[in-house]
Amino acid sequence: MVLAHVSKCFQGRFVLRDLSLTLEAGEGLCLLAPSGGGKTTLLRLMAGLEMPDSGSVTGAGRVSMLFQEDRLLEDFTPLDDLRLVLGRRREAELRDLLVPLLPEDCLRRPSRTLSGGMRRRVALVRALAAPGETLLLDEPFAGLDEASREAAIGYIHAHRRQRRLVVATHRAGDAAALGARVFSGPYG
Amino acid sequence: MRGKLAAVLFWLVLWQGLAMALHNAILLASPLEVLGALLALLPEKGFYLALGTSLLRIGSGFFLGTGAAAVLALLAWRAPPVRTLLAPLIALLTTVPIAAFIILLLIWTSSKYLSAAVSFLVVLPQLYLALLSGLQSADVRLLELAEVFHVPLGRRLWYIHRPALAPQLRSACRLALGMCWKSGVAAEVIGVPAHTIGEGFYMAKISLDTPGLLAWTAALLAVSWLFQRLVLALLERLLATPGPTSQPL
Repeated sequence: MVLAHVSKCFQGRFVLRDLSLTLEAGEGLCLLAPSGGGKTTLLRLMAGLEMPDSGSVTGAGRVSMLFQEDRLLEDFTPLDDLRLVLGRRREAELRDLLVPLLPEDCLRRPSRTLSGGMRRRVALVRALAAPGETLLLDEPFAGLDEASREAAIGYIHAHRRQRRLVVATHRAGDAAALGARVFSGPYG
Repeated sequence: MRGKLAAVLFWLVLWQGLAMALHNAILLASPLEVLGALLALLPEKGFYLALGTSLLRIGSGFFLGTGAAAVLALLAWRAPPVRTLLAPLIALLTTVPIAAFIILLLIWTSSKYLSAAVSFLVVLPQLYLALLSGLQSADVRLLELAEVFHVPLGRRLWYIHRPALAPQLRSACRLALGMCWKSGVAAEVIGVPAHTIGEGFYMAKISLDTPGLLAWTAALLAVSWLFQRLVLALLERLLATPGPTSQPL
C-alpha cells in the first residue's frame, strides 16, 4: 500500500498535508497522535471512504475496518453482526470467533443491551473475522479496561493472518504490544 | 379491557334506546333488529359466498398492491430516474378521489375485478411511499460499513434496511388495510358484482332494509378484522429481529 503526497482539507484547514507512506504486505503500522490529529481521516482514505484532495492512495486491496464508533446492528445479536460481513455460517463457527473475547451469555442478546466494552469487542471481532488484505483499526482499545485490552491484543495477534495492519491510537504502548512500526506524523 | 367493554355496552344501550324512541326500523334499526337480520343471514349459503368472494378480491388486490409497491420502491430507491418518473403517478393516485377510479374502472373493465383493482390502487401508493422513505432512512454509518465490507444487497436489506423501515411500514400497512376494505366495498356497491358484500349492501339499499344493511356491515367488520390480524401477524414475522423492537399487535 502506497500513499504518495496525500493532502486532505476540511473547511479550508489541512488535516493531512503532503503525507507519504509505504506499507508492505504483512507489515504493521501504528498511527500515533493525540485525538483530532488526522488519524481517522487517514484510515478513511486508506479504506477508500474519502478521496484525497491531492496525491494518491494505492494498493490497499480489500479492506476490513474497525470504525471509531462500534457501528453494530442494534436490534440484532453479535452473531448477526458477524453474519452481516461473513454471510451464512454455522453458528458454532461464529461462536468460536466471539467467545475468546465475550461471555457466552451475551452472544444471543441484542447489541443495544451490551455494555460499551462488550460492544467494542464485538466490533473488533467482526473486523478481524472479515476477509481482506488490509486491516484498519481505529482506536481498537477505546473503553476497554486493562484486562480486556490485553485479551484484545492477544486476539489481534491470533486472528491477524499476516494481513497488513494499520492501528490508530493515542497510546505509545500499543505499537510495541502489536509489534507495529510507529508513525507519529507529521500529519497536518 | 373492562373499560372498553363498558364503553361498547354504553353505546349499544344508547343505540337501542334511540331506536325504541324513534320506533322506525328504516330510519334507525335497533341493535336487536340488526342481530335478528344477521341471524337470518347466517344459514344462507349466499352470505358466505359473498364474504368469501369479497375477501378473495379485496385481499388479492391488497397483496398485489403490496408486491407492486415493494418492487417499485426498490427500483425507485436504486435508480433516481425511476423515482422521478413515478412521482407524478403516485401523486395522482393519492389525490384523485376513489369514486373517480371506480367509475373509470367500470368503463374499462367488468365489475367482476373492480374491487380487486380498487384495493390494489389504494394500497399501492401508500406502501410505495412508506417503503421508499423507509429504504432511504437507513443509518448512513451502517451503510458505509456495508460498503467497506462488500456486503451484498440481500444482506444489507435484511440487516440494515429492514429494521430501519419497520416503523413506517407498520403504520402504512395499518392504514392501507383499513382503506382497501372501505374503498373495495364502496366499489362493489357501485359496480354491484354478483355474490359480494357490496351486492348485499345494494340489495339492502333498494329494499330499504336498514337492519340488513347493518347486519352486512357487521359481517364486513368481522371479515376485515380477521384479514387485518392475519396480515399484521405476517408482517411482524417478516420484521422480527432478536431485539425488542417488535410491537404487540
